[in-house]
Amino acid sequence: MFKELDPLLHSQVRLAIMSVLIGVKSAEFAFLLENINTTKGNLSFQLTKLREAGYIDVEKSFKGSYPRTTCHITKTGINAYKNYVDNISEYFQNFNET
Amino acid sequence: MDINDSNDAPLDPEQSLKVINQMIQTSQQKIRNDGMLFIIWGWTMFLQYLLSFLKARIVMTYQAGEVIQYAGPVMIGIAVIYTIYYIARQRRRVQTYIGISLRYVWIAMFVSLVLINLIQFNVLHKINFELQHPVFMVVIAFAIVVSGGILRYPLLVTGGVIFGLMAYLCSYLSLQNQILLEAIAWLIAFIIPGHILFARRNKQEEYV
Repeated sequence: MFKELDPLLHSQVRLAIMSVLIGVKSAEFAFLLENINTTKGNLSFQLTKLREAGYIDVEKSFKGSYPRTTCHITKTGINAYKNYVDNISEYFQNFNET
Repeated sequence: MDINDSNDAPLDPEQSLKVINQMIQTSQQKIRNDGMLFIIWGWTMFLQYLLSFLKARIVMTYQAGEVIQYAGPVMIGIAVIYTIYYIARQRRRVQTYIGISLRYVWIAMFVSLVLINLIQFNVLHKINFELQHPVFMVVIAFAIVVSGGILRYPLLVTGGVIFGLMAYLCSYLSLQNQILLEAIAWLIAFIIPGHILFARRNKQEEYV
């Protein structure tokens, strides 16, 4: 039977953020926005949710007078993502067998 | 891929897989090496060695000789400044493990070249340029092959192997001919793979 998926990752934007961050050491807010193509407000909101869950770290700094937000995935985030992908793979395996 | 607040509803497994695939594919395409530093350093060193060879072989005016003599360090200076700017700009957007690995390889290579010169000077009490050129080429060939492996780019690995073989060939030649061969080696191992990488990256961006 299909295992319950992590509700935090089971949303398009948050899953998209984690899928980008899993392959890099760190990425800027602008890079995520460029790839995910959602609104700034929504991206910011979803990043906060992931940060509160401990899945990502968010560092805020300034380059001159411009604010800069850099995100990177944490060990908890990597494990959660791995479990999520494993559960989906399991679903497809079960689906193919039936 | 357009993801808005309105469609941020829970996904079914097929949609999840689609999001994962698309995101990984799109982001990896955007951070793929564009070969720019291979192009910049390839052309810089190719022109520097070619001009040095021509200066030694062709009778030219004093002024032309002076221009060629200073052109080399100026070109290298510009390449260094551009490299620093390029890396800083990339790091601002995104830091990848491939980028970090490549940085370590090329910094280690540069330090090795400096150490080789120091060791040579300590042992021989002079710099023997006929020895220095092939040895430097071997170290550079090593860095090219490792970079090609990291980038999973067989043409760069092949270029590195050719660069190494040309280093061995250089050891049979006079200093002047070594310089010409080195120019050709930079063309084969840096300029050609760099331009192909750049063209491929631009072509891929058209489809993203």
